[in-house]
Amino acid sequence: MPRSRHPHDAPLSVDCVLPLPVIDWEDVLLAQDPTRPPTRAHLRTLQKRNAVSQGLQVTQRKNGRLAGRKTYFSTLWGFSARLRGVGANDIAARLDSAAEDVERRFRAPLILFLKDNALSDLPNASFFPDLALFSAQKLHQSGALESLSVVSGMVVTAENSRVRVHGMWQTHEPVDITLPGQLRRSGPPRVRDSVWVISRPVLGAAVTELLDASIVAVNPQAASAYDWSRPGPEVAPVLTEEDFDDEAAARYQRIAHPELNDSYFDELLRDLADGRIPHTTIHLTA
Amino acid sequence: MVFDWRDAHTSDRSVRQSFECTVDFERTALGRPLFHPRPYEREVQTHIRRAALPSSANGRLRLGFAGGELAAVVQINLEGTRDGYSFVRLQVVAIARQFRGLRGEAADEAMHEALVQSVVLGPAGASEGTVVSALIDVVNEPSRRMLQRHKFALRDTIDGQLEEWVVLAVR
Repeated sequence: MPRSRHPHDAPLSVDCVLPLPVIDWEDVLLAQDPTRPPTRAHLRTLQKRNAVSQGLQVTQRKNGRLAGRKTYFSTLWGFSARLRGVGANDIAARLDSAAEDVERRFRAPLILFLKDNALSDLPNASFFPDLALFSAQKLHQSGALESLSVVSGMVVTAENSRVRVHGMWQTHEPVDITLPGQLRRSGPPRVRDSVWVISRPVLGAAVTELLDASIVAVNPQAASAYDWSRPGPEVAPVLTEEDFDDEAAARYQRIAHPELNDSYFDELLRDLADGRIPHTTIHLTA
Repeated sequence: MVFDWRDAHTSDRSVRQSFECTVDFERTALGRPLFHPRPYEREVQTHIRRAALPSSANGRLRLGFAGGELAAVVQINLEGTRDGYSFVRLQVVAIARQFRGLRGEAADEAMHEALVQSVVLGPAGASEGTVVSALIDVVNEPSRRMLQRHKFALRDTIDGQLEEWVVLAVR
């Protein structure tokens, strides 16, 4: 006899890959114009025009001494700038107000934490899950993600200035992409780092950004908006070793045994005639 | 480093099936495969373990042994002949894990074996030389360096994922 479903049968939380909810001021400016080096003067101009908030001013200390002054913003300002770039001004305006809301609500714990810790340590803060989820909910409610191409995933290789990301589009299609590691300003990501990859058109070209993300345990109801953005094997195209090897063998068969036709040989002969193929002499030994 | 090279036989299947030229999967805490850090190496390993023996007229599957241990595998295939040239595709140049990292010595010997076999495999009519081509993954830096050491030139990039390298081998 099937037993009735007990409320505790439901998972208490579900892991989601969510973008880091706070970014520094340079990232806000680069989201607005990736081709222009960020300057404090440009930031002040934007602030005078109310295009961005005053942000969170943090005086950092190290070993009890002053160690500099930093300005951080809600990541929603970055999304707002990207959306203005693709002409989605209404959604951007909604995000501006959501960004101010995030900064207002989490100002005190953020300043307290960032005064003694690096931004990259933010996922260790006790209030981080609430902050990340609140920010992600605002992002979802604004409709921003429908106007951008977003991949949520994990870095599976990071070699030779290239990173390979296994993940999923927000349309639930699996994706396996290779990107230049330099896309991230703070340095190439490491294997197993969670990331979001965002692409948008700018003047007929595609601008692709690699955003730091983090795995956050959220309640199942809230997680439903991000069911495409889940960590682990669900997003990786590897389920079992046998599946992987079957696919690997099939792919290798296509690569190693191509159907080479006359036009391919014609091209090679042209390259030979043009001197584009180097020679090597092979000495046959007994 | 000198390997003892010979053609693969059907009786080598068990030796090939234990050949390892890549690292293991990254796994979850419960041991479930999560992802493979170098999928292009795993593809080659799987191919070596499963490949049928090529026909002697068009292909070679060569095994290199060191101290009785399978240290390297080379596979080539004759794709065609035109205008005095033969066209050979390098399908496998693989070095067992324990023989890697010796400043590429093992890889260089395997590549030399591949080029020698490519030249030998060309029919008598291919008097101009043998065009040898290889496809590698774009992130496969060790293979790129090996091909460069043997004078291969990058000819094409396919779908942003694979690179085609070519060289004309002459006797």
